[in-house]
Amino acid sequence: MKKIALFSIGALVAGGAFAAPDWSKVPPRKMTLFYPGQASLEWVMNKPDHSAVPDIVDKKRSCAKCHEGDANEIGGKIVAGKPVGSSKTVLEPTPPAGKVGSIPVTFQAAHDGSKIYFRFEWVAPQGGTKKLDAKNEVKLTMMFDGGGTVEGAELNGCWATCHSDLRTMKDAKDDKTTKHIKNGDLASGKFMDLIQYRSGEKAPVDGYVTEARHMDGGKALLKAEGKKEGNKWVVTFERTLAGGGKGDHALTADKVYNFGFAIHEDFTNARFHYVSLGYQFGLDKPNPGVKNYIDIQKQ
Amino acid sequence: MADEAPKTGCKDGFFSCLLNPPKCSLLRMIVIGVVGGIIIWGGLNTGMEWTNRTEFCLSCHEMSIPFEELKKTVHYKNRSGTTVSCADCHVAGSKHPLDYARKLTMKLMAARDVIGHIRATVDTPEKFEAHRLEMAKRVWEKMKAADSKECRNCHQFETMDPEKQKDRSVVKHEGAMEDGKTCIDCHKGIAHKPVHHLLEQEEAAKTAKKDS
Repeated sequence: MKKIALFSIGALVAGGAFAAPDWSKVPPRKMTLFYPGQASLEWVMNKPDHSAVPDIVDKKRSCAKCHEGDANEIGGKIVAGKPVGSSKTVLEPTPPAGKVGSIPVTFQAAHDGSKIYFRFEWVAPQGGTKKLDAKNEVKLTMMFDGGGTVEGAELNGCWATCHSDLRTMKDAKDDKTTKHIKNGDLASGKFMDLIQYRSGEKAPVDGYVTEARHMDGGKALLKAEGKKEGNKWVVTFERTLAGGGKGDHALTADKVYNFGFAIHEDFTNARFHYVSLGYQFGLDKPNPGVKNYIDIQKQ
Repeated sequence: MADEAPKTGCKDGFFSCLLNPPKCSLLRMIVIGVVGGIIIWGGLNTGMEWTNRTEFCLSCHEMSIPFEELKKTVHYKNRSGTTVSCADCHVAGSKHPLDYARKLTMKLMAARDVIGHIRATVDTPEKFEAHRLEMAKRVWEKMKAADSKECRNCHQFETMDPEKQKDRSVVKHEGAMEDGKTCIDCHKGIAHKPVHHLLEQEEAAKTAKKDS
């Protein structure tokens, strides 16, 4: 009797933290991921290229406020090697043949009090011809800060790490410099937690970005799984809320976290990814009145 | 009877003819006055409208330069087929009845264009380019002083449909209304070759000089 009782209690406790949420009950958020070319943070903050600089600096407008609706057009222009808006700069000096400018992605997220789950679904676009990373057909990377700990991330998400001196970018000095945050520092929380799914590898990647990109150190990412059904990809992350590893942010209910994600489709690397605009999430927290906020609810 | 002022005819001298009452009835005077007034006022307005025609503006060959630039923009050719004439933006075409005074003043000021044509100030593309920023600045200042009246004759914030505009346009126009901005503050360079970046460079140079 005791064994049965213990087993039942055990099962009940285990049942409290489930393997995966019922995704049909989680509200989806449609996002457009677009091809950014060499559009670094420096380009975004340069007024002759991007006339909206006063809106960003003075009015604190997030990218998504103006661009959620036209990200597909922007990506289309960049991937074709054309300048955008009033800029004269061509953001893609070598337009990749056959690549599309944007991918619509459905994003869902839920948590159960101890773990948080992210789900990404999209239809693989037609590919180009180059294979930069032959091992991984698809990589999906998500970065998030510690709740306003990375300056500017509430407006621009991942662009806080993207600079014109990175490898393959306009002012690249070498082919080694990776994403970095100016004055990034683990101790003060001024870093991006990075989690990645790689289609050609079993182990999930849990790293962080401070003065450079580190692809290890984190302990919070438990699972990164991906499945291709026909032409449709579904990638899910399962991560503890508490974090705990090196470069892991603890996710708590009182904060609003700035995040973004990117998909390296078609065996690509470096800047040849499709990127999301900057978004925000909170845990069971109502919208603080911004367009790019997602409320992640407990299931 | 002898004290009555003699009624003179025109054979008595041109000026006495003008300065003395004519030999005709009040009715005739009124009719002539009204008809004359209609002819004069009608003539004035017809003249105004005649010289407001795009073809008239283009009769000075210099104006083909900005006109060719206009033809490449959406203000000339677009999906709905609406188009502007030179006067719609440059002579304060107005829907408001009391704006006639402004329209008349601007028309008179436009006589300077004739002087410019006679003096061949911008009669070659090179000379036009050299004066382009100066001419543009003049137009921008006039437009700003009138709160972009020429734009607002057709475009109004209140009747913009946010469903039909891109997100960034909706956001910018809301911001413009909040900040009390006027159309020409942002929409420079939409009808002819843009030179407002030169304006920004000028201002940047000025601030640099001030700081040094």
